[in-house]
Amino acid sequence: MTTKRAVDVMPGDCVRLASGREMNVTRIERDFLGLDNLICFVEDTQQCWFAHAVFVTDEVITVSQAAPLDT
Amino acid sequence: MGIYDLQLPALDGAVLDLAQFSGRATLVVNVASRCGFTPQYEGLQRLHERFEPRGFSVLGVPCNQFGEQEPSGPEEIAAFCSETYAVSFPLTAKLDVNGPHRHPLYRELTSTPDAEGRSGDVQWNFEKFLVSPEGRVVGRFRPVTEPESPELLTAIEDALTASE
Repeated sequence: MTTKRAVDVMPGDCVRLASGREMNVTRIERDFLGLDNLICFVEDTQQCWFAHAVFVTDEVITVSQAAPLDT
Repeated sequence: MGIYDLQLPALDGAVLDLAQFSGRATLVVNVASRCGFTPQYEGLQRLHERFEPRGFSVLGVPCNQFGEQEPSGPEEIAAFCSETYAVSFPLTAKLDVNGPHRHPLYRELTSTPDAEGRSGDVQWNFEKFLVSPEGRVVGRFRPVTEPESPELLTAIEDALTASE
């Protein structure tokens, strides 16, 4: 478990919210609601749909991280 | 099957038959009690009171899919709406508006594009769908659109005028 800035979260990361809920981020919407300092993490799977909006500078707890891309 | 053929669970546990809205223009809004947009309840209630005599209703749909901002049970939601915003329009039970458990009402609603041509998932709390008295979705307004914005007022007027 570690923390990173919200702007650095990637699809495939699992983040823990303040409530303790863990969400698997499958999509990230930037400039959310027309605000360039707001992004929205979306978990959109066959089991669950959930969205969580944060400021890009917020620190986010990541439970696990997406595998790095092969180069 | 049209929108006004659907039945939903009401916040108080009863069955909310959308047939009761047939012949009326209806603004369907997914709501939440702990959202930055929650003060929009004030404008929604004013819309409801202003246009109800002409055949209009707001229908609130509590939803906890956006930031866990509607976490409470039905009694708490009802009390919050009544005591904080004097809400008198009907509210459904908490429903999913996106994803695998999306309610059939929102399967219909989300197939409608907004003014920029984007259909699909509800973006956040307080997205608004205007349904005509005939049961057609005639407008989609994103959460940043205030209830009493000129575009929403015009759309409501148009929907009501067409049926008068």
